[in-house]
Amino acid sequence: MSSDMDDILQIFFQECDEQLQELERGLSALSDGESEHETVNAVFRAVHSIKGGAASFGLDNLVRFAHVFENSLDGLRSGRFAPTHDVVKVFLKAMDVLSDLVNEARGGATVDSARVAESHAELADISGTGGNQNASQAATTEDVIPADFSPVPMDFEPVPTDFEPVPFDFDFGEEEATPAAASLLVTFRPHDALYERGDDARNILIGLTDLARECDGEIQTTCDRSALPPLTDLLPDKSYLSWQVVLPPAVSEDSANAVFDWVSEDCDFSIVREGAEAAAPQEPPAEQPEPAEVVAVMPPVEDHEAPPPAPAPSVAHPIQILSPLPAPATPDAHPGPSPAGSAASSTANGAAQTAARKPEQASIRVDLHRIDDLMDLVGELVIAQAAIESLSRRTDAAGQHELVQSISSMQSLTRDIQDAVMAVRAQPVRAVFQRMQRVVREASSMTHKDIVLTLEGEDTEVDRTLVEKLTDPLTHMLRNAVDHGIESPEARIAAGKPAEGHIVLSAEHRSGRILITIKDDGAGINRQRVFETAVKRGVIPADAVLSDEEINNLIFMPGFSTAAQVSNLSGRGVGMDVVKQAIQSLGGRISISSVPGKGTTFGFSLPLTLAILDGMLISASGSTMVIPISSVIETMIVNQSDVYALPDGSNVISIRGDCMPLIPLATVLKLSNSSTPDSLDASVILVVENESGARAALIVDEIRDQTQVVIKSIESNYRQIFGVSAATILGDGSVSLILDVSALVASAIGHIDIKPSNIRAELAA
Amino acid sequence: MTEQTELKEATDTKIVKMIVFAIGVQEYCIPILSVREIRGFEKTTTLPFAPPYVCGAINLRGIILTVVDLAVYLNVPPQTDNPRRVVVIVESKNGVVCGLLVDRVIDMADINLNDVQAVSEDGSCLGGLVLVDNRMIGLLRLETVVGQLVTDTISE
Amino acid sequence: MTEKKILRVLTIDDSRTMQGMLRKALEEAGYDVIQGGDGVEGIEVLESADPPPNVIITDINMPRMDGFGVIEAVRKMPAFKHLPVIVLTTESDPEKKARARAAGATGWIIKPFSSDSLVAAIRRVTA
Repeated sequence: MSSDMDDILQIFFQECDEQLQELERGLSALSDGESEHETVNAVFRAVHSIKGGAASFGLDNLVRFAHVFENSLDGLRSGRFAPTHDVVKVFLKAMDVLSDLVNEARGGATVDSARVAESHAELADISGTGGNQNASQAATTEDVIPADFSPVPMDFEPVPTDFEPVPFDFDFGEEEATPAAASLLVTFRPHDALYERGDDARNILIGLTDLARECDGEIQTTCDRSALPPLTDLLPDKSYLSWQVVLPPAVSEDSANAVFDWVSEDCDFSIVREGAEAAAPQEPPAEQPEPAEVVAVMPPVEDHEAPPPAPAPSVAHPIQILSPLPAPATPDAHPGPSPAGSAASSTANGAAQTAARKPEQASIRVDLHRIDDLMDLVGELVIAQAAIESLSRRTDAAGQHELVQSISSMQSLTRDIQDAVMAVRAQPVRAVFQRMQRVVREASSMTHKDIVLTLEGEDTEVDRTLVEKLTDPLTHMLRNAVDHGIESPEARIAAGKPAEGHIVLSAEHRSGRILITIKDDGAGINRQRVFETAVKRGVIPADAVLSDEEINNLIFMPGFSTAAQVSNLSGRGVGMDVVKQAIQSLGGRISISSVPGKGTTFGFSLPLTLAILDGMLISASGSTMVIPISSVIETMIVNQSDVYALPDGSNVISIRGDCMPLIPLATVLKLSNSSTPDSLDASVILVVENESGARAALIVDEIRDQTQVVIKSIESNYRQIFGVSAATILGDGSVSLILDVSALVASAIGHIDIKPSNIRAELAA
Repeated sequence: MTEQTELKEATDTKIVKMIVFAIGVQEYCIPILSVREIRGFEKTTTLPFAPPYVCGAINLRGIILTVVDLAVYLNVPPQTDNPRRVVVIVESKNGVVCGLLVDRVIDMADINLNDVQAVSEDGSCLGGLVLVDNRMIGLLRLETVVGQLVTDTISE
Repeated sequence: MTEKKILRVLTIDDSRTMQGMLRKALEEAGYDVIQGGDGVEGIEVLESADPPPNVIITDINMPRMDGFGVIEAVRKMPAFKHLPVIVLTTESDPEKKARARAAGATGWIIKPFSSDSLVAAIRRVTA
């Protein structure tokens, strides 16, 4: 049972994440000036939903805050105030707090109560004070109010007993305190409307029976059939009957009243203590001319089908006493929305505690049609497999031919299935992108800058593992853009720019990869300062001659920071080199372009998946290895006359005028002891390129094949190997290494150029 | 006997069931609970810059792991033509899986850790010696072997 | 009790958490549970349910079609116009309550609910 609750709690947290995303999306839309009712409703619903779920689990902190938030949003929803810039700002801040409270409930860091209180006060302010200021306006702007939610003036009487709004939950505490001597006389006569609502007089009788049983008593019921017309005139939808019920003395008026709470509009009723003056019964059923039969309530008939059409069935089956009645429902001691106390919520509390310790279950939501596509393909696969099986038993030549054909169609099927599975795992980058709004918001408030982050291409899909791993690098890049990219408002105005800075985070698919760009309209990279800092830090020698691009890349060097003072923000732990490492470990490349005074654009080009790679199978010194096709520019046979031997024993090759290092793969990887052979003539080379466009030529023994390989980690059970990024398993089950072209090229370049060399190598890496 | 030992194991945690194998003429043991399976020695894929004791990588149902030649690791002359050489697939406490190439698996033994005599300081791959039926058996510290396998960096 | 026919309950709620809680509470109490993720889906489930549910429990605040819409739609369907509909919501606003009542709701339970109060409510209206 508690594990069930754990599961539901997990669902709740997943849902919180979704709702928070929804909230973020809605609030961004509002801050962009959109004021669609559906957007406001969606925002409201998101908070409302979190509150509802949280209440079920007794997550009090979360409930309290969500409640205030919801109230404020209700003010927006009902048009009491408009989503001005300031209002949305308060909501965004509250969203961050709410998100942290969710995280806290999940077992994350405790949220600073001062922050919660601050946001709480702001919310109360806009819905309270702010609302009052606009109160007079509200009347005049009624046309703005969404029709659905306008506070329609109610004709209804207020609920008769406000201590107990739920007809099904009774508080019996009071009646013990005031035991009454006389029986309680209840008379009631349902209107047609009661039956039209799917209710039934029997339900009221059962309610009263339950009351009696709570005090170990019974009820005496009299049915008044005097209004019943002849059968021929009887309309099944009409209400003709009324009842008189005598309850034991222990039953209080209030609890009896509560039974009628929900039906008070649709039913004439009176509740009188016997012997006391009849308190003006709305209908006097006691004045019935015909002596009433004494009947009593029947217990719930569990097997009845649809609710009886009005009272007619009640006539057909005279009600009679049946005992024992089914076990009474335990009265709930906490009828109101108080989250604590009930059995369910205390279990839930327990669940919340245990779940905090349990690791979160990873799950994704997938469009049904994607699963259907996959199912279809698997169906085809089963057929293809059967065909191959039967063909394999044939020995004739034609059979052989068909077998080959079948296998090739199976291959394409496998590829389709692979794509379909990838599609299942694909997720839009939206979730990560939207998280960046908060990053920018917090960073800009910390640096006192006014910055707007625009998201583009949030629907671009990538493998989910990649989506998750993008969060940290992007967070860092955006903090950096806020901190170092965008200038202070004063500096911007002085430069003739709007005070408000702008950052665009976008994603798009480009030739089988995903390209993520972070573009700011700041001052651009100050190359002079970058260079000076790098020299000061000893990253490069003072006489280094570097291209603009190389200087840009310096910011990714370990331990580099251009900020005159390490700010609160970027000083937080990691440097840009960590970003670069993270992106590279995802098989990505970083590009930078920066225009002084105009801004900087960072580009991350990443593979769509971390699982599969298009590779070229090569062999070197007896080992079969894989080179990612994306980094292979061309393959060719060496002409000895293009090779130039350097004094240190290494070689460079000129390919159409471009000089690049020649890398004897087996030797570099220490797979063969022999050094480079004297003549390289007729060797096979692969021209490869790293992220920054630096090239090298790899000497291999032969090129075997071109294939897709599944990437397997080698580090999880071993360690990092220079020149190797991962491994894969070939068709024969053997392990093959996937080469890290960047590292190979970098080390080769480092080899040849000695001077500003190591940086150049590092830069290239 | 097994029933008894199981009972004992439940009450006295000092008794650990070990798998005993031979490297050259010496016997070593590791806790049976760390053993995942035992398989024949098969061709491995050579890894660049690997320490001499790493034979190479193998594919264990989709997981890539390395095989450690314990003879080389323990400085015992390896018996390359021994057909009884097997790979004991083990999993360390922190989840690293690797294969240990041993000359042959001998048997199982219940080792009382109280009987183990220390022979070298902490950090060594040998946790001590224990006498079972007059055979000297070395306790191999799996975590040390795996730790070295995972962190040793041999630069180019 | 032992031979009772299993009652079928249709729950309509856009929160999967709430759906999970409802399913658990109701199934533990021996009900057969069918579910809809919002008003529109709820009505679809109702229309295609065989056997039809004996009671509907609906949330108010939902996308596409809210709980009021559900009640009104149910009341307009000849086969279900007398089907008990219990509103289950976090809102305790009397105004909303009155609206639900006017739309034709049979009962009202406030979240968070206890299994007992939920079952008691169903028992009442499906008698």
